[in-house]
Amino acid sequence: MNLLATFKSRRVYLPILSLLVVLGGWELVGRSINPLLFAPPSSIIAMFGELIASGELLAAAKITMQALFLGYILAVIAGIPMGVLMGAWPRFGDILQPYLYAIFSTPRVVVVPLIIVWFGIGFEARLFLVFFWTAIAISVNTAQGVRNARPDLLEVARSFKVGRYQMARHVLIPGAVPFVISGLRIGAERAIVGVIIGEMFLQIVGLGGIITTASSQLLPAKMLCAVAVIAVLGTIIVTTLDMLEARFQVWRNDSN
Amino acid sequence: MENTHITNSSTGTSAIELSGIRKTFTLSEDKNAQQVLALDGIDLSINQGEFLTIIGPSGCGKTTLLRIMASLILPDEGRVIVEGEAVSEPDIKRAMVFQTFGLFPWKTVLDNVVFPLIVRKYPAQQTREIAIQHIKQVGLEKFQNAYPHQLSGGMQQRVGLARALSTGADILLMDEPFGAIDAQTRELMQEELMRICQEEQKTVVFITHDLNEAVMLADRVLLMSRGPGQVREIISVNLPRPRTEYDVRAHQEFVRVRGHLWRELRNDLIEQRTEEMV
Repeated sequence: MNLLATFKSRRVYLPILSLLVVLGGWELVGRSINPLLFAPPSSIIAMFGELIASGELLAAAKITMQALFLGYILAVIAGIPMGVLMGAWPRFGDILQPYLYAIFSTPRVVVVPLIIVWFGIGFEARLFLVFFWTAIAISVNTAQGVRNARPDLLEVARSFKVGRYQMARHVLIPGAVPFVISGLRIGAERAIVGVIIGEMFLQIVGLGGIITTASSQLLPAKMLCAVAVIAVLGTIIVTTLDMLEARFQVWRNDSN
Repeated sequence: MENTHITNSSTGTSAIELSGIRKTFTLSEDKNAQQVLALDGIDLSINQGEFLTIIGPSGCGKTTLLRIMASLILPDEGRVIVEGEAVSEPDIKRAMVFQTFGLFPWKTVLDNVVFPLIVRKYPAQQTREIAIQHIKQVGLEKFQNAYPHQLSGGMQQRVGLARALSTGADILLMDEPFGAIDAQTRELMQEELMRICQEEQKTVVFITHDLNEAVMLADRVLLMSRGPGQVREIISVNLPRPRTEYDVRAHQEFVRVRGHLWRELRNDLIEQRTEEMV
């Protein structure tokens, strides 16, 4: 009875209906097209089973996750303090800003040759592709949050004669948390793209490597399996960030 | 029983002494921009344990004067002497209470009150005890773990007051603390403030734009005039304390002082208006 009621809710049955229609249509169209060019859901699922059984998919996912998570964690560790410095010391931020913005808006594919020269084509190169751009996203956002600190609260802190470290710890950083979290989100997107670029254009390994080889072997089902795993990885990171946000923002209006 | 009001002439040094305070502001960052003279030649001596209220038309520099007393800004000319020592930085003798409360939204009531103490690196247990004691003093012991947004404006300002008290400062500098609080709560808080300040022998400088509040709380009322900000008059309020035990507003001294201040303020406002019209 309850289940039926849930299903009757528009927010539940509409997405399910939409999924069924799209997957059904995909299956129908996929079966009528040359299998070298396109794969219906049924053959993707079959391929998924095969890749899991052979261990190929897990091994690839492991390689991808190593560079992704290590690079991301390093970016968080470096990016937040850097952002606090840039925000608390605006002159420092102003000096760095043009470079950071220029690097951040340059498509990473174009620096691939340079990265090969500096780091080779292996793990270090992928780590750099993840770390550097993610760290920039996090630091730029953190800096913005610190600069947006409420002037009245800065004055309160000043009236109690707090030192620089206390000011950062009790006033600047907590106030910047919403900005830091949006930096973590943008950084997560940058990190995933970075690791995949590394795997598709440098050493052909990991999930990105599966996409590259599968597309050259005309195995669209295999390619789409790797894409699906990447999508799941992204979702895990974003969901974790949502939970983190809820945890850190208990002090925000819980009335709405 | 005659004249039970407090006269604070017994102690030698003043709590705060201002001499020749002058402050100008530049309207924009451009160095050639117009300078505005906010305060000109302020001389003032505030006794220890005195409750001084400051009132004046908006733009007369009341808040600037208070921030100079707090050493949050420095005067261009003149000296600020606190308990006998010239000062140029905030210190533990003075604590501010802010009009917009100035509570950290990410800290609980307890953590907000503890804040000025952590900064001073007292032992954690001791700071907690001090903070809890002052939270009780303002009647918020049930809300120690609440966040500011869960409290009403009046309760938030109680936290602001508890925080200022927890510093142990002898001097409270209050910038229209009850300005953003509804009328009934304000009256209650005025009573509590008078009680606490009397118990703890605080020196208070209290800015307000409410004439009743200015007279009700004060040992002396300082009336400022604007353009530039100057001391127009300082008037003593000879109302017996504790003032919570009778109807202050019906007392003839209250009526006399309030009436006098209103005439002065009104003249100032009318002069200003005619100047603006010419």
